[in-house]
Amino acid sequence: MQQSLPLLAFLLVPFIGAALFLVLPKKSDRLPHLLTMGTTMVALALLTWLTLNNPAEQRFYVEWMRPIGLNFSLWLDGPALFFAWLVTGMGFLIFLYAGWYMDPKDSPWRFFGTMLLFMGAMLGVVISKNALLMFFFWELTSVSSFILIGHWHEKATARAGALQALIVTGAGGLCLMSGIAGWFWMMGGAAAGPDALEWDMIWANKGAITGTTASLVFMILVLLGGFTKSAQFPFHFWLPGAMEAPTPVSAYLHAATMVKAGIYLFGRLYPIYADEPMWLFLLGTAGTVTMLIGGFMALLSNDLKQLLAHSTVSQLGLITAYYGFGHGLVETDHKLPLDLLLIASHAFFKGALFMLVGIIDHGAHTREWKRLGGLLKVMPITAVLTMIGCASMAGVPLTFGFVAKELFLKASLDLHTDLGIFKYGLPALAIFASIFTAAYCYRMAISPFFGKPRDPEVHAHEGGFLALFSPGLLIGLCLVGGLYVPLIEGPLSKLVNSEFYGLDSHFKFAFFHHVDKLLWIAVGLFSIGFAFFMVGGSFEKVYATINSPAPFRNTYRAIFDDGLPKFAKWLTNTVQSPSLSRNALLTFVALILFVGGAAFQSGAFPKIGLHWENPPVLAFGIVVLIAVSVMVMMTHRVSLIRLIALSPVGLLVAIYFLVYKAPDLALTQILVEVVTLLVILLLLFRLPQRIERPEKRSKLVIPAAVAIACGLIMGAITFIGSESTLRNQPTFEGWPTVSEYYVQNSKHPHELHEGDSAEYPGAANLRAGGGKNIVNVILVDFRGFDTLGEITVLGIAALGVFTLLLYNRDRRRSPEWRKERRAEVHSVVTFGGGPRQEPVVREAMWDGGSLILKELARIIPSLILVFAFVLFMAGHNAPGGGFIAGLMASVALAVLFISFRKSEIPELYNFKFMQLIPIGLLFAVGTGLVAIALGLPFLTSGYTYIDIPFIGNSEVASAMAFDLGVFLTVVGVTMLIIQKFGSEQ
Amino acid sequence: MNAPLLPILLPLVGAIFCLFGWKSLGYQRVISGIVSIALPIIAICQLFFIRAEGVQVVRMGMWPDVFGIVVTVDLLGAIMICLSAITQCVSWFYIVAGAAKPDEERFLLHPLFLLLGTGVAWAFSTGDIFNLFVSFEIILIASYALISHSNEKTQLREAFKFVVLNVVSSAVFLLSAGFAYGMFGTLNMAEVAVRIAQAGPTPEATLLGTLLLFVFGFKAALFPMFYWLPHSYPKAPIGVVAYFSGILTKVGVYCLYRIFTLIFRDPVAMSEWFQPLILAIGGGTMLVGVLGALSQMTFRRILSFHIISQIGYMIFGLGVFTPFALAAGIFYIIHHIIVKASLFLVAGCVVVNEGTDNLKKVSGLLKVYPGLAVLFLLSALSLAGIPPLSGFYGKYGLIVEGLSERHYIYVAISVATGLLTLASMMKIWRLGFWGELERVDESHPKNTKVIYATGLLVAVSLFVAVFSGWLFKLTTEAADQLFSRDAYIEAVLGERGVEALRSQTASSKEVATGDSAWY
Repeated sequence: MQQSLPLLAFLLVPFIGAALFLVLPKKSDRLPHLLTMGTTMVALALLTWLTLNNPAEQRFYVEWMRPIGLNFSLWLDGPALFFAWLVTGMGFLIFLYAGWYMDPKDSPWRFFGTMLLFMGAMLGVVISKNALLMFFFWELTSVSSFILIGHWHEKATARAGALQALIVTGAGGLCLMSGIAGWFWMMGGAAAGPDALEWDMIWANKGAITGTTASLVFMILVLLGGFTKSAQFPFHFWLPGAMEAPTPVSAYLHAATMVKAGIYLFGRLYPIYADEPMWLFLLGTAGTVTMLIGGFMALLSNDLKQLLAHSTVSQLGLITAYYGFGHGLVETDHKLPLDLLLIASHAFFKGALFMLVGIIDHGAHTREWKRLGGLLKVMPITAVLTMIGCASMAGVPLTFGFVAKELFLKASLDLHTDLGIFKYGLPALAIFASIFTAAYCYRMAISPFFGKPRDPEVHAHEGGFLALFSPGLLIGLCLVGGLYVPLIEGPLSKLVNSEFYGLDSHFKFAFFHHVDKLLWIAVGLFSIGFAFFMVGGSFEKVYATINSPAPFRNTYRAIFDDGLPKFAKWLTNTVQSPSLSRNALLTFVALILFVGGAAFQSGAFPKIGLHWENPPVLAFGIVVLIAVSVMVMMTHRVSLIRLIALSPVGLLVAIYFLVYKAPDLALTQILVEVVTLLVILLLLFRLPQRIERPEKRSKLVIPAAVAIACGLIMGAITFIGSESTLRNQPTFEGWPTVSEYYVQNSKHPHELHEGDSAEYPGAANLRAGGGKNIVNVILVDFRGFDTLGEITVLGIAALGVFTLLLYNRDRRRSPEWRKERRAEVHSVVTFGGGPRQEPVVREAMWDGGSLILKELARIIPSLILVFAFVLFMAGHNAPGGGFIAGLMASVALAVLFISFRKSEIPELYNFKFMQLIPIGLLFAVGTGLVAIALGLPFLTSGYTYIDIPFIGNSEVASAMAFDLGVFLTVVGVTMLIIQKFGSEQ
Repeated sequence: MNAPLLPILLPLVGAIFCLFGWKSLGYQRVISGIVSIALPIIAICQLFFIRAEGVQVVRMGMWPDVFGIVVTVDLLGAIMICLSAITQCVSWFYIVAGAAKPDEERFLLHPLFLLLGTGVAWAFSTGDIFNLFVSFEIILIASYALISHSNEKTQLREAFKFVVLNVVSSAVFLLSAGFAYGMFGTLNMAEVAVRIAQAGPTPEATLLGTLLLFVFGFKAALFPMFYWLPHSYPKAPIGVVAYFSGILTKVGVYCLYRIFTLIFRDPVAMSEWFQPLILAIGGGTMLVGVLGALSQMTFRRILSFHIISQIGYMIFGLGVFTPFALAAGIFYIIHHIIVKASLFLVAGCVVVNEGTDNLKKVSGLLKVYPGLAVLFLLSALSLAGIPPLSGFYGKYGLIVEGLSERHYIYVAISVATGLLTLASMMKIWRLGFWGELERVDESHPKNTKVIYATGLLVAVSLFVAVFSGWLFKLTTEAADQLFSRDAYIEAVLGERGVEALRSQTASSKEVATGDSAWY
């Protein structure tokens, strides 16, 4: 099929117009209106062209996302064409009117831009051939409606109305989406082919999506989309709230077009669902109930715009009910006759009436009929137009509205159902509701225009030509359609010549030709309606006694404005505690639940067993000692004592490492202990000196239980992990295990024999790591990338500290900071309740009080440094290496720090240790980059032998450079922290 | 050969050079700018390369097979690296445009941020469990340094909680890595996968999987371990908070996608334990996050809670566990990262220009910043899943697939969450952008440059929406690669790995191939 570019252009024109609004410089106040009119005229021209050039053949199709059945496909079948004309034509008239209505200073760019956006979205809804694509535009109409209702967003009522409309239609949109998703699934999902969600395909395959319970759910979901959008009971409350919008918006979106989107959807669903019994029940009931409620509320409204809003609700109910009444016609090859006439009729008179109320509002500065009266003299044209419009709304003969009314009454009296409650109940309800329609039409047509002005302060004046043109034209159409139906019916039937919307040729409109029961019913309605109008005031009393001011709106408010936020707040305050210990508790509980659940579910715990051949008594003793240290720590409250109690733990762990023959680890552990202790001592007097006990001991029970449970679980996991025999088997035949491989390759190059490679097929790759210390070779070679990461972590940690102190330095220069700080210092919790301990620690550590320490410090650091150098050089073959050497060197420097004042060793105090970090990292990364430059993988190591004077032929491995990087980073990090904390005084 | 390392090494080297001349802000900006602009270009090239050439592998130190550390980048990894690079790049523009105060920016913001990027790219690239732990350490310490960066009391307090809780989870990670090595004698993910397949259904594998689910779930802020996130993220410097919100938790999500597609595939354990657990967690995460958002009154806190709820969607995709659900989940991740980061940029614009983002204090911003309002609306609606913006496709895909896999309750939760998301986004709009103009400080200096930088990222999200069809194809390929896992294992272990897998799984019912029929 040929792609119809004009069709695409027709859809895009409003969007392009809206986009222009975003981009153009917003200088002029009049330009937006002109631009809108221009855009709409282009759209009208394109639509005319499309209408004249075989519209049914106009298609545009691009596959968008096949797995969800989404295509960008457009068409112009009968209803699409009808609605396209409705949207564009009404748009043209209402935009014209808006140019008069809107104050040019009132954000015209936003207003007209959004109006165009809405027009595009609405066109998209009606000309989409793909149901999912229609949903796209459907949501866009909700959003643009939201922005337009909130146009006067300084008013709280406007904001609330906009949000309410968005939430209700948004919720409905999500239901619609779920329903479409359900269709797609029931049709077989992606297997249904790319075009499963095209309307014609859905109709053709309707067997797949009807007849089961699930299909009923999806039918209800899809219908909910329509009910919310078209303000059907029980979702009718949002539409009157939406009347906070400027009048052109109300006329266009909330009377003529957007609220018809739901109706449009019913039309599309009609061929699918109309024969389902639920169809009549849902649409018939919702429609007639909506009619009744809307009519009742309209009669009670004081504000004429509210009256129209409620009447719109009521009329939408009428159209919905009309679709419902079409139940049972599809199978008998009858078509639903001329539903579009109803829609057109409503759009004409309701659009016009909204605009006319806008004129009254402008002229009289009020819309309350209880303040108006006698306007016939001041605003004769408006008055006459309004009266004709009301006549059409009521369905008075000679107007277009009568034709619609006749259609509706006929359908309601001719229901295809055997259920008595529907067959007689629904028509009765519909006719009863129609009485209210007549009554509020009298109200609208009589109260503001006849009699004397009720409020002497109201001075009204007539609107201008620009104001009256659009409503006048629409009212004219109402009359023409009523006087001579074929004038409208003819073009309409030519236009709408779709398979599913054919005309029922047996149906006659010509009213004057015969007098039948429909006419008598109509006459009856008008009489009783007039009576209702006369006694309208007493309805207010009835209303007051039942006292139900929109219970559904209140339900909405109870949920979305009140209940939900409160519940959310309660829930969040419960789980989102600001207390760290509570969060930590939750974390551990979660861990217990996760792991416990998994172990229970998979049966892991029975695997734990204690079968050691040689019970590790020594190791067990160490563990007990560690536990004792921790317990001692916990019984004390004074920080310093707690620190001392905790200090054996690190050393015990080091011994543990030694027991398991890991000297490198033990060495590292001891050095880390030393450095950590130094740093903590530097900070200790800045921390709280006492940890307060919780008031109630019982509060500790749960944390203690959780802690024990966590410990047990961790222990169990460790047991299970270490009991495995799996790790000693190779993954593939002939492979070494990882540990075997590391042992094989952690060798001095000259120790390497050809035979070593025999076991492993990848023998060609066997090469020495260039060192005998397997730990160091792992660190700098096998897993050098890990080490690179770890020194980066160290570096970042130090940089973080550095940054914080930079801020401190800057802040300290400000006098406010000093004042604040002074206050803070005085409030520090004191040590053991006695006098402040701070100076004691400081003097001992920083004022160089100890002569012995000073004297020793002249020698010891040099020794340590030499030892660090040895450790570094030996590292690849014996215990040691860059990390250990770095820590060792740092300890040496730290000793100097503790022993001497700044004046004695200014070089050390001023040395920029921070710069060692990037240098170290660069060494480490650089080693890897050299490999890359040589065309080898990152961090590939190499080695060679060179003669060094006094030492002899030595091996130099590239890993040494990497290790140097590690060394420098470690020294930089440790010393940066010690230096900064040390000189913070 | 070393190309997959570029996204890791480039920011690392950049950070090192930044540090050499840190006293000059201009120098830092230039170095960091070169890196930040080069990164997305490299990452996108890498994505296309991997798409054409298959999974890429670097064997570190030229150690054969899996005896050294193996960096393995597949399509999912490449996509994530791209997203990280794009977010980082936009953040650079944003920082330079004035989102960071001069002091804040000078005090090592750039190098720390680059190092954070290093860690993230590292996590997305590595194929080794312990190496992954190392990358998590880098990410954790860098984000700690950044959250506490301005050295204010509230920042330090939240940063402290952040780091303590995360260290707990890191400790569990370390334990799990030890457990994995103790059990299987290897740390390479592909090899662990093969060994678990060889061992058959074992409780140990379930235990390991659950431990890792805890760890990555914690990092991803899943229910019930989400509480560390919402108060700490808003404290990060405004310039980098977009990157935090967009990328960091997604590292956890990525890891969950990785391990549950690659390693823990035993069908019985999957269907009886992992799948129900993951689904329940996903549903809980969606709800608790969105309800949390409803309870907040500051812009960035609302957004932070939404991070949680949307991670729920991603986890829902993993829980459904079909190629299509994974594809939709990955698409959702792409959308989420970009849109969430954009929203934080918008929030940052408000803070930079108005001094606060407390919705009780500012309102009526629409009048002063109409452009910003449009950017917000586009991102907010996208976040709520309103079509045709980018948030719709992934969510809708998940709903369709959730329906066909009959997870009705979770489908219903995800639909409801969508509505509540819309409600809370519109709360920001209603309170912050609508209403009478109210400002804390009339004389606060204006900065419109940051709004342009924000526009960059919103443009990317529109790009995602327009090219959603193509991107969905890409994520489908990525999901197929994940689901069939052959390509990954072959790249790391060679043909024998795939054979070992096949011979072990032939008896079980596992679906080995995930070739999708829809393209």
